[in-house]
Amino acid sequence: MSKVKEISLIGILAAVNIASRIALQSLPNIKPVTSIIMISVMIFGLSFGIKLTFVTTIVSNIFLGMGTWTFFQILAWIVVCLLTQILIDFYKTLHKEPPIMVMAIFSFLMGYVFGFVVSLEQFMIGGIGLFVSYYSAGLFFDTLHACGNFFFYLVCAPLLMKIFIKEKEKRLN
Amino acid sequence: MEKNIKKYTLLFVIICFIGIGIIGIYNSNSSLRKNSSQQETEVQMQEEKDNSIQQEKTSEQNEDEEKQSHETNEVSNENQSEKKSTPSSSSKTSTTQQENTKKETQTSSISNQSETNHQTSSTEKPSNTSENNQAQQTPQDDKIQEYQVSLKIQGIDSIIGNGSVEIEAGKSVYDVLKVYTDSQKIEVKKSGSGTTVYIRGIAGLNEFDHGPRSGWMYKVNGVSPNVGAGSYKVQNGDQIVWYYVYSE
Repeated sequence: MSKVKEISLIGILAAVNIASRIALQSLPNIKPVTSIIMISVMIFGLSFGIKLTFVTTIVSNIFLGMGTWTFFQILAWIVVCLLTQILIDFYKTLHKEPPIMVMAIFSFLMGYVFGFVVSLEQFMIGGIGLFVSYYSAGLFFDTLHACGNFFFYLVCAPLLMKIFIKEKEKRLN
Repeated sequence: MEKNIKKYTLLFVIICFIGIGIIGIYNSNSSLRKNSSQQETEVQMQEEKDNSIQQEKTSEQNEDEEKQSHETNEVSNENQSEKKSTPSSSSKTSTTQQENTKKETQTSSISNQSETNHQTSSTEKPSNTSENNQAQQTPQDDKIQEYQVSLKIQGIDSIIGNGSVEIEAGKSVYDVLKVYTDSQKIEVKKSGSGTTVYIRGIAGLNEFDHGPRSGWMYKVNGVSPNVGAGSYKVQNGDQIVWYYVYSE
């Protein structure tokens, strides 16, 4: 993959993520960002997904509010990227394409993983008591995030997969 | 290449989690230690506060009474230390201390020598039998304590109000002002409520009427506290002054 093409792709996808985060900020946690990052990891690999995560989080938090949570959001999305990569590798060893429904359910679970990792910030500050209360208070919003992921994955995956695979093949030729 | 990235990412995530875990466990341990030490210091602070209140009260009385009540203090202190050595809990001793202070304030408001004499005798006696002491003091526990507070409201040239207010213990400076202005039918403009209440105007004299830096402030015993009027708790005998500051 040539550097320029990679950077331009990261720029475009990060712009989509940032725009969606800012446009949908009135809806609690229902964002396509996690789904788009997962799809990009599936097609372009782990390093691409992590780069996309960094750009998305830092630039969108310039608008939404920068803080210590920025680091934890990056960490949470890196964990999501890693788990996606592990699942993809598992399917590669089986010589199968991951079915879309399995990936949608996986993205649903990633909503809770994201919430858990972001809540670890409170564990660092106030110990296990604060973490439990913070995480249980945010469980409803994690559920919204998970549901959002599920539907956005079902909407985005067929469209973006086609475009990404075409892009990848063009580059290989 | 891609395999290596996966390995490094896994390593990075694991190191992050371990770091978060170590910091979190360290913090939770230190906060637990802090909590337990705070409770101890709170009990100590309460005791010190009670003692200082007692001493303040004695300084207000005249010298004869001062000697007597100093003796009472010593006696009551000895009394407390004796009780501490007995297996009774620390909370019990603190309540008896509070009862002691209540008794002190009541006697000072009456300011009768025979009353203080009576008190010395009453506290000296139970140093022998602590049960007797508690039996005597329990009926006072139910009474609501009343504080006597003097209040003065200074406008620009004139004094808007000057008087004294009786109020329950644990009320704030704002409550005192409210009780007084309600009784005198003086209009008060305020914003906020509870501990964050802010006085905007008294008797038609509002903030910003005399320049952008004008408004109402208060002093307690000649000192401006650094907290709002809704969160400063008054003590017995406090002198509260509300004054209007302005610069033109």
